[in-house]
Amino acid sequence: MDFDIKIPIYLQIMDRIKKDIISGRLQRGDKMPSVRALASELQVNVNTIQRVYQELEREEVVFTLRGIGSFITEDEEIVQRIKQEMAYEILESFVQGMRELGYDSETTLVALKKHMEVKPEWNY
Amino acid sequence: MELLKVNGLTKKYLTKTVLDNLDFSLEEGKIYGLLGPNASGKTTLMKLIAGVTQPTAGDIVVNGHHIGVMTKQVVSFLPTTNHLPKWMTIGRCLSYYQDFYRDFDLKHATERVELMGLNVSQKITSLSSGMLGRLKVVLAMSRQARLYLLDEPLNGLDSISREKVLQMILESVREESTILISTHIIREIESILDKVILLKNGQIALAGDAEDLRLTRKMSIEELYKEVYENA
Amino acid sequence: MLNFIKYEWLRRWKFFLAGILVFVLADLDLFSRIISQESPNYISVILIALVFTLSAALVVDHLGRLYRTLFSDEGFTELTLPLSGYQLLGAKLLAIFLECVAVMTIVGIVAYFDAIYVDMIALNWQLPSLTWEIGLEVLKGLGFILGGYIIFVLMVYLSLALAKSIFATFKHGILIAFGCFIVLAKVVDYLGDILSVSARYYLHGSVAFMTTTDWLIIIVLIGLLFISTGFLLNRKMNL
Repeated sequence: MDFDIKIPIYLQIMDRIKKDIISGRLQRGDKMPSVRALASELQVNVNTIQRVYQELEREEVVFTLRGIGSFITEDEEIVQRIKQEMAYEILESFVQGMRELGYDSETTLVALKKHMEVKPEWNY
Repeated sequence: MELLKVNGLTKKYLTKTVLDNLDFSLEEGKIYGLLGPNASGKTTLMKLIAGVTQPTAGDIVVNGHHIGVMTKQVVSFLPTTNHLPKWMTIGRCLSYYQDFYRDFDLKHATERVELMGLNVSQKITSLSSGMLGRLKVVLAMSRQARLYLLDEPLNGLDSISREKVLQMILESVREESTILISTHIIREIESILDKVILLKNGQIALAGDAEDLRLTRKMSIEELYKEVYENA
Repeated sequence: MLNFIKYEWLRRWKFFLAGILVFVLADLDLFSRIISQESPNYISVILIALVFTLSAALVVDHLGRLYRTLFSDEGFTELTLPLSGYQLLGAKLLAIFLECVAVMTIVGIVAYFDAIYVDMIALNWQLPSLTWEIGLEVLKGLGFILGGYIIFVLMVYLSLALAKSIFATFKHGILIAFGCFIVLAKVVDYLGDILSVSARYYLHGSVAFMTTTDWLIIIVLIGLLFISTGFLLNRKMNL
């Protein structure tokens, strides 16, 4: 995994795990790799992975059974929640980008609709 | 837990103050980056902790002991220069470490020598700077030390060797050990650092958690580094 | 400490072996020529020159053992070993002492065989029979030489240690070490003068005998030099 060193690495890893959960690559109830294994796979410090797991646990995306390991939440609601959160973030940055280009809410919507119907032809 | 504590540490040479009243401590289980351009005092600080140079004022405590035999037992030092006895082969170096350091893992070290593309029968004098750099890291990291002092461990290494060396450093982090890496090459190393200490003119210009710094300053450690030293 | 001596010798055993071989060869060559009354040729000259060169090399090597620790990057290896300065110095000196004893023993053995051979072919050389008294005197003489040599080595070591500790901030460490050595030599000479010579004359009226005081002075000197050098190595080095 290549990191953008401008952004905290633990946030990037958290994002990737969340995406994997939403996309179904990681299933609900799946056992997560150990801190050490994931650290070695991603070539980062174990403390970074520890932080990732702590944060994910705080957000209830992951739960830990002492001595057994960390598991992905069984709770569908939480999965839906992180899906919405990530969608929100993408939309936020999209809207922000469109604003910078001079689109207002209405024209943005038109452009988006057109984009969804016709495949990109760059003539909005 | 605090593994190393530095109090009012000052090192002066005739006319030059290399370290100026430093105070800091290192926690267990963390990788620290000691960053700064050449001549910012990184090597002097490393040598003071290793016990091969004495402070002008102040003191250093490692694992509850002042610098001496007790701390040398738990500190693994990798200097920038070629410190290995020139007459030895790699195999002899391994047995030398095995004989002197109770925490040296000979089996692991032998495996790592091969992993690094080296051979125990090679003579130290026949090694290229890249091979020597890899061997030095193998020797230093194959001790189960409490504190690793790695002075510019990536110097003179090609990118493939750098990756292997970083991997080996990462493998060696244990809960009770601390790694202090000095470097002025930050890009490759910054993703493995927990904390950074930026030295400037013998003083700490900036210190903190690498991730928190990225979050609050919205820039990489490398960019932060440039900012700190360009305003000099 | 013993580990340290082990590596001192692992490094040099080939050199020692070569030295012994050359010495024995030189002895055989000379001896056979004396017996057969041939005049020595260039081989003998080369062998003898080699013996002298190797002996000189051993002395230089003895002095260089601390020099290499303090003035080369190998110091980062030796001075970060979990050994105190006293242990490090003690190991180095013990190795040197044992090497000197070994050299003396080998020379003694070769000389002994030479003597037996002379006896066998009866060249009418009057060999004094070896008595306890003579043996003791020889041992005393060797002990005196050895003591003097160790003092000399320690004086050099203390000079090197001073150059790399108290005077470490100055450049030209080796010149400083040399200066320290000159001063030390004066001090040791002066000490020897006031303590030893007077005592010797008072007690015996002769310089031919080593008195207890003389031995004491040698031991005290070695002790003082050892402690001060060890102290510097232990806590004061600035590599």
